[in-house]
Amino acid sequence: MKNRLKVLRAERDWSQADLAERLAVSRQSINAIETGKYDPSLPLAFKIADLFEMTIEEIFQHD
Amino acid sequence: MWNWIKPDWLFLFMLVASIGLPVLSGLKTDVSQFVPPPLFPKLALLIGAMVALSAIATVGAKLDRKHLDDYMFQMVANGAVIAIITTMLVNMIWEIGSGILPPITRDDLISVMMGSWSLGYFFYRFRGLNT
Repeated sequence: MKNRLKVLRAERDWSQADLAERLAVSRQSINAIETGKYDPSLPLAFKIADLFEMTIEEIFQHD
Repeated sequence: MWNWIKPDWLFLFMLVASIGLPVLSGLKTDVSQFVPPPLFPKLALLIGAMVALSAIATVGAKLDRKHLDDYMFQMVANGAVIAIITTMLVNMIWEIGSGILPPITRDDLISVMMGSWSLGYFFYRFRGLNT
């Protein structure tokens, strides 16, 4: 699964730690999602979508 | 209700294996050396302890999940699966090679389980959960 998390984060000038803090997850989680090592759970995907005020489909795309 | 509690094949296989091992170990005991404890009280105790401790562990894992984020929990949980499989394989190899390989103790098996858990966690951390 591809995602635009790194781009969206960069647009807001947030570090991985900033985003992790906003989502109440570890920085390693953000890094793993951005590098495609981990697909977030549905609740976390909703939290990410809510934070960026977008739909899940706009952030995560199926390969 | 049935759909909620419906066991799958993996659950049944693991359950049968866990019941079968103490039964087999009781059957192959050399009675000339010592008298084994009666099989059925032992089985009842084991099953009772297994059910109670599994329930406690399930609640414990839920608490653990609250303190770990999803990614970390998934790696720890996947590492635990690797630990179980590795421990079972090590035990099987030592059973097959009994007489050739040096005897393995309960503490050795716990060491193998803890070590393979940490290695499983490390491998998932290195490779990621999607590969």
